[in-house]
Amino acid sequence: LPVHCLEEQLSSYLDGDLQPGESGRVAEHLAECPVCRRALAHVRLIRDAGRSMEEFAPPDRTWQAIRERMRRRRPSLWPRLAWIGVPALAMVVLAVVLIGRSPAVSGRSRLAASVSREELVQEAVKDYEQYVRGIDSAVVECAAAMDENPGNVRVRESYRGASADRSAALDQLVSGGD
Amino acid sequence: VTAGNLWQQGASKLAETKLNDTIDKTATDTRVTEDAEFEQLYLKYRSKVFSTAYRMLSNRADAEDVTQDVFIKVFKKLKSFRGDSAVSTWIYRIAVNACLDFRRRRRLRQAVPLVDGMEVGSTPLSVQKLIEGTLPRMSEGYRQVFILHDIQGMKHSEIAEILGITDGASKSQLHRARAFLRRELAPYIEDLHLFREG
Repeated sequence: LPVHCLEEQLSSYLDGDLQPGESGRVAEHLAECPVCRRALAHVRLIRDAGRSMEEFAPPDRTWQAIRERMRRRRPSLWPRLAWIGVPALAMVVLAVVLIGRSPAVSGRSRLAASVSREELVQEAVKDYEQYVRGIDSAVVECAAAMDENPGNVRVRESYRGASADRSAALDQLVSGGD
Repeated sequence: VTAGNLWQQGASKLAETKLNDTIDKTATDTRVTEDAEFEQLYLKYRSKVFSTAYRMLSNRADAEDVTQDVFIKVFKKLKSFRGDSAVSTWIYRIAVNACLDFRRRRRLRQAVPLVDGMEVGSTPLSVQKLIEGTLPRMSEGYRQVFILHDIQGMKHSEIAEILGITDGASKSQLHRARAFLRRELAPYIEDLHLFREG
């Protein structure tokens, strides 16, 4: 009786997975054996059919159901922020309102980039403190300059400007930013 | 009214009026971006996931349920996906695991029969339809690898990663799967004159 190739052997041969020696022996056998050539052709037909099998799209309701499940699962933002507390939140707002546009813009973009809120709070508090220190030191420096040069108009204007900045900041605080 | 009171009042009011707006807008922007990215992923992989689930479970309704589960999981884990593997490999892994979990649950319940096996015979037969009709009779190991390799076109290294097996095991399962199909389909192939020896 002729010895034919194993089914798995033909599949391996088709994909080039056999060792060179074994692959050579199978090739020699195939050249002589019509039964194995036919079997190999069947396996090739099956492999190629698999590659051309159609994909099925899920119905539209699947996406609707996913959206609904996402909506139900999505936690509210505020409970996650609750631990921060009003003082910390206030500092963030003060930084956003008082420092000007750049901290707000950078905070927003950093949030969008998923920077943690803890980092944002710390950064905003730091920026705000720096701003307040800047105003205070400007007022102190202008006051000292006025002591030394009481008649200097430019020093008086600088002092007035620094004081106005301080007043404006306090007004914003008192008014709540309205 | 002390300066401290003013500070507290002003700060609290600012917190309520401004921070709400800022954070809500930021959160909305972030969600819009996340949702758009997720929708793109869904559009790209929905058919692959659904087809894989359909063929592994042989039931359209089950495949729909599993497809939902897969994409909910993808959405939840999208932020923590570190890109250690290709997105496709990651999604297929979730899909295959979801199918296996589903089959385990169903087997335990033994209450949900297959209701819509592939309808071989309803339309002119092709080798593709014959394969569809034979897949439910394949052992799970053969079927997984055949679907992922020969139908979805994945590499053995990717399949090995998804299924937690070796490349060699993946190849071995594939060759046995094809041999199974060949034994099952050989008479039909001959009868349908789909085969001509070159």
